Amino acid sequence: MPEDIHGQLNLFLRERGILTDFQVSEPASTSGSINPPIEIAVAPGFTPITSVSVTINNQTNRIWLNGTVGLTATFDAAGVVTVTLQLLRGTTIIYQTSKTISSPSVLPATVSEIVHLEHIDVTAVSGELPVTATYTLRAQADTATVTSGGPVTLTAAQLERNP
Amino acid sequence: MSEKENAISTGIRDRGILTEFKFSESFVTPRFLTTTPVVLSTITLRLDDTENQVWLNAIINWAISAGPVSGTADLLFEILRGNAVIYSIAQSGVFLSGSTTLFNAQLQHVDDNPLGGVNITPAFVQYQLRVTPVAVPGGITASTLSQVFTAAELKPAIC
Repeated sequence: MPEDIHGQLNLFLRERGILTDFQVSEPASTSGSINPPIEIAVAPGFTPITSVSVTINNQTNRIWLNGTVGLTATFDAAGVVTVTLQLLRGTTIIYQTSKTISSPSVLPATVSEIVHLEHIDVTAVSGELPVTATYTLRAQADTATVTSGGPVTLTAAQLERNP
Repeated sequence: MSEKENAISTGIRDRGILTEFKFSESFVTPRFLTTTPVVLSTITLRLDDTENQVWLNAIINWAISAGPVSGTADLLFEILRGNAVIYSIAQSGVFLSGSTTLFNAQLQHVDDNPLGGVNITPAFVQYQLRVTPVAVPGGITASTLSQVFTAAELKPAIC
């Protein structure tokens, strides 16, 4: 078989990877490395944590988003604080999750917690391509007792449609 | 356009950048935590380009069994490249007396300099998943129950 034909057949028969772009924003990679720590705003405010941008080159592509944030809550009295994290594409909220952090029985206390969120954006773009989409992770707490001293990681993987 | 031409077009456009994936998983061996760091998993990856990144993810399930005490235990979960800590995240376990409480810790890190400036490829890079007990009070048993640790090698995107 001539080499060029053999090469073309390989194109038809072999599955190729569909993960075609990967972007990360990781402003802090270790616990306590953000100093002073980011103070998480009290509702109705939000604190931007980090952003990542992806250039999307096909309307059928999906953006697989993963965020991981280290949080700290300080308690002087018994109670629970709720932290809400949102993912935005531009200014549009596309994902939201909440986590409660409870005080221990021995006070005062500082409690460390991890929040991880995951979302697939299937309607990332419309109109003319390519388009750069900016995804922002932001947070809100119901009391002024929550901070983030790191780490903060936000990744965006672009996946083409399944073959 | 004919089917054949479509197929060629797809073949040319497809350009997956995830080129290697390794994992380490354990669900069977509890590791008890006292005062010293414990290595939970190790992964060795063969990197074939200095520009490649490594996307590291881990989930650890851990537990506290408390006696007649209440309080907080603090753990630091770490990822090491060789002997260097490249990522860490803290989690507290709040526990009540006489109870067993379960926790999940999730780690995510992108190592954008996996070869540490060395320009020789291919090269092997070892990553360790480690937990360091920062504060484990007396009267409790803290242990990890299971963990999964993954490493994905990613080439730069071709736009």
